[in-house]
Formats: sequence, C-alpha cells, structure tokens
Amino acid sequence: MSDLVVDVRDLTRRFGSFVAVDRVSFQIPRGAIFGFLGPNGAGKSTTIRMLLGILPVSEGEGQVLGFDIRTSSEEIRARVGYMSQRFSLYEDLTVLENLHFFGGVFGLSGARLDQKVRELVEMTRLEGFEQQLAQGLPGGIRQRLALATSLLHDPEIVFLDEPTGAVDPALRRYFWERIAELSAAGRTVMVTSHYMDEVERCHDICFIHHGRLMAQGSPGDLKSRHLPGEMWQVRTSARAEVAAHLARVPGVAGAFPSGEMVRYLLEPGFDPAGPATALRASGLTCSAPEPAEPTLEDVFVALSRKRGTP
Amino acid sequence: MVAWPQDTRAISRLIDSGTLKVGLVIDPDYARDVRAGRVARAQVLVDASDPITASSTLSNSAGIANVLGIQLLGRYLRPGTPFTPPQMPVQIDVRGWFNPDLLTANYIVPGLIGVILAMTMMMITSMAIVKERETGTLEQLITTPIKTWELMIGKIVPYVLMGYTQMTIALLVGIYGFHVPVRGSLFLMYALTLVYIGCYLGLGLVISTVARTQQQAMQMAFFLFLPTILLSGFMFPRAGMPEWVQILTLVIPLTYYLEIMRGIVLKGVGLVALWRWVAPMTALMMAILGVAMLRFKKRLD
Repeated sequence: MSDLVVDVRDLTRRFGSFVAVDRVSFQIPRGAIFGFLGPNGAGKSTTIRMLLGILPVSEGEGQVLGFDIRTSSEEIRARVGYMSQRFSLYEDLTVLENLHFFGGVFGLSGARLDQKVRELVEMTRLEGFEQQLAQGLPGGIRQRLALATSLLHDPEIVFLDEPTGAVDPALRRYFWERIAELSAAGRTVMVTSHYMDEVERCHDICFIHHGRLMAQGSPGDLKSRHLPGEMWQVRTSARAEVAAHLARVPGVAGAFPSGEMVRYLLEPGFDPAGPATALRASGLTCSAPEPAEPTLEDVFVALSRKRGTP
Repeated sequence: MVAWPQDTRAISRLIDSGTLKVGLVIDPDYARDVRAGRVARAQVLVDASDPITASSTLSNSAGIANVLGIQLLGRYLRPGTPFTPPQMPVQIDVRGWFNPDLLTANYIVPGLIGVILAMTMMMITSMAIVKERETGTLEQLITTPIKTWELMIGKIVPYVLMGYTQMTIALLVGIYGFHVPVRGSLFLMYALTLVYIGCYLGLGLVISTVARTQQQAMQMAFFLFLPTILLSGFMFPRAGMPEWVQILTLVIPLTYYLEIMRGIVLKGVGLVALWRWVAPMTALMMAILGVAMLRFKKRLD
C-alpha cells in the first residue's frame, strides 16, 4: 500500500506570460487522502487538469498510476474519477439518465451498469430523485449526483475539485465521510479546498499559492515545521484595536481577531510578555498572553506572508 | 467555356453536366436561306435551371435576331428590289430547357434546400458543442475514456438525421405546394446530400473549436453563411462574377450542391453528368472534416 499513485516533478503550466502552476512537485501514496490547499486562483484546478491530461503540460513531467501524463492521458482517464469544480450535468436528463449516460461513456452496460447505478444512488442518498430532471435540482443533490458520476467506473484515484466549495455544513460533513470511506476502501482521493479546517482530515497536504508549492506534509508536520514562531492569544473586548496595534509590535508577525481572542504569531527570540506590555502602554486592556494551538490557517497565513505576494 | 459540338446531342450532354449554359444551333440551310431572301432560322438552347442566365439569353437572342434582321432588310431594300419581307428575315428560337416557363419555384426550391441545410447544420452543431463547453459538460465528457472520433460521431449523427428531416420537409413542400418536378433519382439526391451535410457539419465543428461562447459561434456561422448564399450562385450566377470571386466560390460547398440539386431535380441527370461537381464537393468535405478532426482534440485549451 505504499506505492505512489501520483508522482509529478516540476510541473509547470503557462497561459501566455502568466504562470498558473510553477514547478510543482509532489507524490501521493496509494490510499491516501491528499489535500491540495490554496486560495482561489492558486493553480489547484490547473494542476488537476494537467494530471488528467486535459490541459497540456508546459514543462515538467509526471506519472499517474504509472502512466505518463503527457502521453498516456487516455489510460489515466479510464482509471481515475474527476469531479470538476463546476461540475455540470445534462440538465435536460433525469438523475438516472445522467448516471446511465456517463456509465455508458465509461464502458459500462447492462446489468453491471444497473447495479453500479443502484449502488451509487444508495451511497449518495439520491433515492426519490431518480426520475427528476437535473435542471432545478437543489445544489446539494446536484453535488451528490456529481460525486456518484465520478465514481461510476470504480476509479483508483478520485480527483475532487472543491467538492465543498458552496455547500452547507451538513453536506460538507457528508462529503468528508465519503472521502474517508473511499480511502478506507483503498482508493486514493485528491481533494482541493480553500477551507483550512476541513483539510485537517487529510493524510497529506500541499499548500499552493500563486502557482507555487509552499509546503507539503501531514497537518501535524506542517504546524510544527512551517510555522515560523509560536501562536499566542490574548482575551480582550477591543479586538479590532488590539489586533491593529499588535500588528505593529516588533516580533509579532500577524495578528487577527478570532472569537473572543486576538491570535498572533510571535517570532522566535521575542519575549512572550512583550506584546502585552506594549498594549498596556497604549492604554488597551487585555488578558495575560497564553499559548494558542496552531491551526493550518495560521500556517498558511504565515507561509503566504513569508513568500510575499507577487 | 466555349465548345464546338457537332450535333444537338453533344450540346445536350454538355448542358446536362452543367459544362455549358447556352447552346446555339444554326440551321444547315441558314446561309442558303439568307442568300435566297427566305427567313433564316437558328435555335438557342439554354439551361433554364439557372433562371438569370435563361432570361438574359432570351432577351439577348431576341436583340441579336433583330439586329441581324435589320441589317439584312437594309440589303434587301435596295431600290429596284421586288422583295417584300413577310416577317423579320432572321428568326432565333430560344428553348429554355428543364424549366421552360422559368418558374421561380423550380430553381429556388432545390437551392433553398442547400441554403437551409448550410445554415442550420453549421449553426446548430457549433452552438451545441460550445454550449457544452460553456456549461462544463464538455470538460466532464473529455475526462472520460471516450475517443475523439466517438465524441465527433456522437455530435454529428443526430444532426445528419435532422438535416435529412429538414430536407424532406422542404422537398415535400416543394413538390406538393409549389409543383416542383423532381426528374432525377431521389436516392442519388439523398446520398449526395450526406456529403453536403458533412461539409457544413465539419465547418460547425471547426467553429466550435474556435468560438468560446454561443454568441461567438453564431457570429462566426453567419460570417461563413453570407458568402455562401451570395457567392454560391444561389442568388446571382457565378459567371457574372469577377474571376477572383469565381475562384473563391470553389471553396463554398453550396456552389457544387446547387449544381447537383438543380441537376437532379430539374435536369433529371445522374452521377455521370454530375461527377464534375460531386468530386470537388467530396474533396472539400474530406478537407473540412480533416481540419475539424485535427482541431477537435479532447483538450480544454
């Protein structure tokens, strides 16, 4: 179970003079949940499209399931599932017709197709919607139908491009449960997101920003290795003022209000008591600083600041 | 094109195939009749499946006959000549073949079928594919193991059937509503129409690989459609166009289809006579579909 299903080196994609993906390298072991994290426009979708061979690679090389992404995209497509960010169904077909159509395109037919469709309708809880036209289906159901469609041919890898982009918390939870199930069943899942909290469930995460890979590792790894300092927090009632003031204190790399707290990153070598002293000197009241549990968001904010934003 | 055929049958063959539009048959006794002061006769045969050529031939022939007649009259009417002409001494008899009464419907209907097919095939194919690109279903489709040619065939076949339906309706309306005679083989007509539909479906596919939005696709289709109706000979005879425009018309599939349809419907001719139009149209179709195939890759960019 330790073999690599995705292995790319220096993957680059240019659109004219714009570099959408810049020398990105990563590996995904079989059965992993691989989170591809980054803000909108970071190059996540472009990377997935290159892996699928629907967008030619400008530079670099890679293999998916051992097939070269430059030359063997047909072999790759037959073995991977893809749910695009803007997944579209044929609106004038019913839920069942959409599933049967895509099943047919993937080469399924007869009893096998019927059985697979039944199985997926059950798994994605689409019962009762089978005969409805895709047009006018609520967003959550469309999204579930999209997931079902990408799983029709029992793919070894599933690429989910922002499956939780615009869905309610219940459906987000549902999606992550399915992702965990797929992984438990030995499938590899590559999922993109810009929600920092949900990717904590991934085995492995890549941070991508402005097309560049900024960090890679398990959530724990990233927090311990890529946070240039320690997270601290103070409790205060004047959160906006405190955050604004803290940002100017030497040694504080970033300060932002979070609930009743203001969290900030203290660079190594600075006195943890310093910021509180500075605040009191300006007449702002706050509690004594206490260490805060770092989150992926902290790591990501710190990393984006470190590399600058071109 | 000018030829010197030795008998009327040769003229008939050349007009059937569309090589010649007009034939002039001079009575063997013409010279003797002129010298003897009798009425001299000639016959003009014109392909009336092309009505503009036919009507201008009609009026030009009458004019020429009059000029010749007046010249002869001047010679005859010298003082002391006892001749009193009973009628004009030169008579040119014009016979419009295939559509002797120059009925508009007879030449418009076959051409119109070509025009309708050109417009709908090109527009609907290109817009249907661009729509899939816009809504994102195309992205979903190309990430499946489906082959490029399978995708193309799937996109083409329904429109071929639709084209045939349109053609059949237009033909029925032409036959029963406008009494257009169909003299040739319907089977040949449907078979050759497939080649023609292939041309415009191919152009639709090419447009779909260039256009990003449905509006763009529609505009591009119109951009190709206007020269199609204006230059193909549907509205104006090609013979009257400047030479460079005539060369341009050779890449318009309707140019050939028009000759084929008027040939089958009005002349009742077969593949042998039509070959000089069928061959280039087939070549054109293969070229267009070839370009479409090359451009229509399973890619997003």
